[in-house]
Amino acid sequence: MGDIAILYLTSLIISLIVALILKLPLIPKEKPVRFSFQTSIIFPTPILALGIEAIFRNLFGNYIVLAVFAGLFGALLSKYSDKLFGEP
Amino acid sequence: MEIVEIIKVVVAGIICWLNFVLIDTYFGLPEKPGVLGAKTIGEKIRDIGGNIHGGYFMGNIVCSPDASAGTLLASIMSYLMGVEGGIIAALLVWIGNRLCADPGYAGTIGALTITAIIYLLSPIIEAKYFIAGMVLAIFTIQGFEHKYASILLGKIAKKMNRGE
Repeated sequence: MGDIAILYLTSLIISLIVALILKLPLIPKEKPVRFSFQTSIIFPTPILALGIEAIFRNLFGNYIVLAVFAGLFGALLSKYSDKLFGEP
Repeated sequence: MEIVEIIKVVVAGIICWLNFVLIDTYFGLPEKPGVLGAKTIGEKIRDIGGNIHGGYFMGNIVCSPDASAGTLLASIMSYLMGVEGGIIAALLVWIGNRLCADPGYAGTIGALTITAIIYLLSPIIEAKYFIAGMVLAIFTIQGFEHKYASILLGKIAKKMNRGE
């Protein structure tokens, strides 16, 4: 159990660091936030990182390297979601 | 024994209903139709005597995965995989949201909150009752009686300052 918590924490922290490096805003700048498509550090970056980590862990096993990659992919998906899904 | 199971399904249904209606209303589903299909459904419901904001709410539920889809998917994934399944459901709901031109706040937050609720209530009500409960909850909105459901949703929206 402790092991799993460390993996999730790793992916969470890595995703937040990468999101900071990629200059994502802390919260969306557009108001009201509930209609904003702009991705930010608090949403959806942590959810994407944890979701990818959950998929990786269940598919491949408990590896800290995968947790790091999950955090990285989560932040990248958050940053480039407009390019991937098209501009709203 | 069967009576206890029925009570569990009903209680889980009430929890699911509150979870998705409150979160969807908070994130502005009744305020405006996200896509053209939601607008059409909203106007259709107004024409049969319902509330336009309740209609937009119901149209948005149909046209993109919102908190109701998040609640159902997270219940199923929690049943299969526990808390991790709920997190995976939130990720997949967000991807589905972006594919449907929706910012994705309602769906992912709804999936995460119901995952937390199922985890906290798991000693009393297991995840499988939430799956059945959510099917009942969505039936009361989308299947049973459109006119009065939309009026009720419109009233809740007004109370929460979302739409007139």
